[in-house]
Amino acid sequence: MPIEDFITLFANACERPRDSISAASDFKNFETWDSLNVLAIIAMVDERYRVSLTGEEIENAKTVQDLWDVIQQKR
Amino acid sequence: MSIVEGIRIAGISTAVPRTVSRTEDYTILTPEERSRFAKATGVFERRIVTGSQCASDLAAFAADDVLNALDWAKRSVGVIVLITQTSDYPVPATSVILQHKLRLPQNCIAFDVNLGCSAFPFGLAIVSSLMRSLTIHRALLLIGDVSSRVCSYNDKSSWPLFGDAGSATALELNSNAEPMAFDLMSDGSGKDAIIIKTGGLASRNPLTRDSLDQQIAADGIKRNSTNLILKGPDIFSFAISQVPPSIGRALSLAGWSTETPDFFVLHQANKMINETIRKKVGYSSAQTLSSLERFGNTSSVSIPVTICVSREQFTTARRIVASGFGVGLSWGSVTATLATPMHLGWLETDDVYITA
Repeated sequence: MPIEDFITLFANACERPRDSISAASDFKNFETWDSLNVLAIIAMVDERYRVSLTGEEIENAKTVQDLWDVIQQKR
Repeated sequence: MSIVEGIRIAGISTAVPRTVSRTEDYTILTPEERSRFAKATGVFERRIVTGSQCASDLAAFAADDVLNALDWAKRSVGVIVLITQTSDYPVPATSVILQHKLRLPQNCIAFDVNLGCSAFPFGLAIVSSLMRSLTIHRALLLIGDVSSRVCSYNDKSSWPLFGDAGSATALELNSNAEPMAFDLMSDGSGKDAIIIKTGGLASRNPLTRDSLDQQIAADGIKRNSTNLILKGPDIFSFAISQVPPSIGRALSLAGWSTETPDFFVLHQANKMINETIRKKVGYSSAQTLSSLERFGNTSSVSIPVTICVSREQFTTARRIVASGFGVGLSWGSVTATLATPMHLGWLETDDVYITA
């Protein structure tokens, strides 16, 4: 499933174990979530999906699913 | 077609302050965060001004250095353009003050340009255009910024990133010079990505007593409203999507492939941005020059800083692509040949420039 691939890429980008992340994860409230993680996500989404995420879109997304929905809309 | 012929870059000098500020000493981050920051951004230390040294001082010392090295009489300089976002005064233009301090002739055209990261490509286009259309044989493009003085120390996304510097690029009319191809772009919809909100009495957001109050902003950072605001994710997103096409257009105008340039000299924003751009454009690490590690993000001056820091690479003619991008949003790329003999100077000083 595409979202499962996205979650794997997401986990790699922010250097967390794959099984610690799900579609429902409130990622901005992860321990030690910081601006460098945000940049890593922007870079990954640009490289893999050719979509430019803005800081605001990441700020407004509550869960990994929300982020995935934004990416789908912009593709 | 944005191609300029007959302009030679005769020399570039860069001046930086002496004081070193190290990421590992930055008290706002924990030791582990400092290490992570340095690894991700590439910035381990940078130079910051102390006392009352301004951007124009660094640019002026650089100007003297390049003029002396080239043995150009002051009276022969017909244009000075200063590109800065940290001027001496809101009014008058600092370049006119420098005309006087540098003892340049009164028929020297002098004006400021308010740009940051895109300064070098824009500056080359502006000054060379004036030289060509008004037949001015010698000109100085001065670029300088003292970002350390406008960042809040508490701002962990900008204070440990920015460094201070000033430079002077000497340009001359020369029919044998290789052409320069330009791609220059603007997008004001991104004005909030890098901004200092409070200005003078006539500005959008005039200074009041409250302007200096430290407040915790929406991004969680403590600053006052005269401090710089940098939205890292927005700049990152903009840079990785817009800069590669700009470089591509400049290469195409010049008839160059990605293998043609000896060096790609990017504005030194941070390592993640520049590595992403490198991969997207498709050039090698061997074609990359950097000054991030020891000088940080020197804003408008970062391209001259990088060239001068790497001056041992320029003992033979080199083709470069220089690409500056950021505040505005403003961005541009230029292809140029840096041919020998060419002076590349490097100075370190904490002095305020006083006419000798």
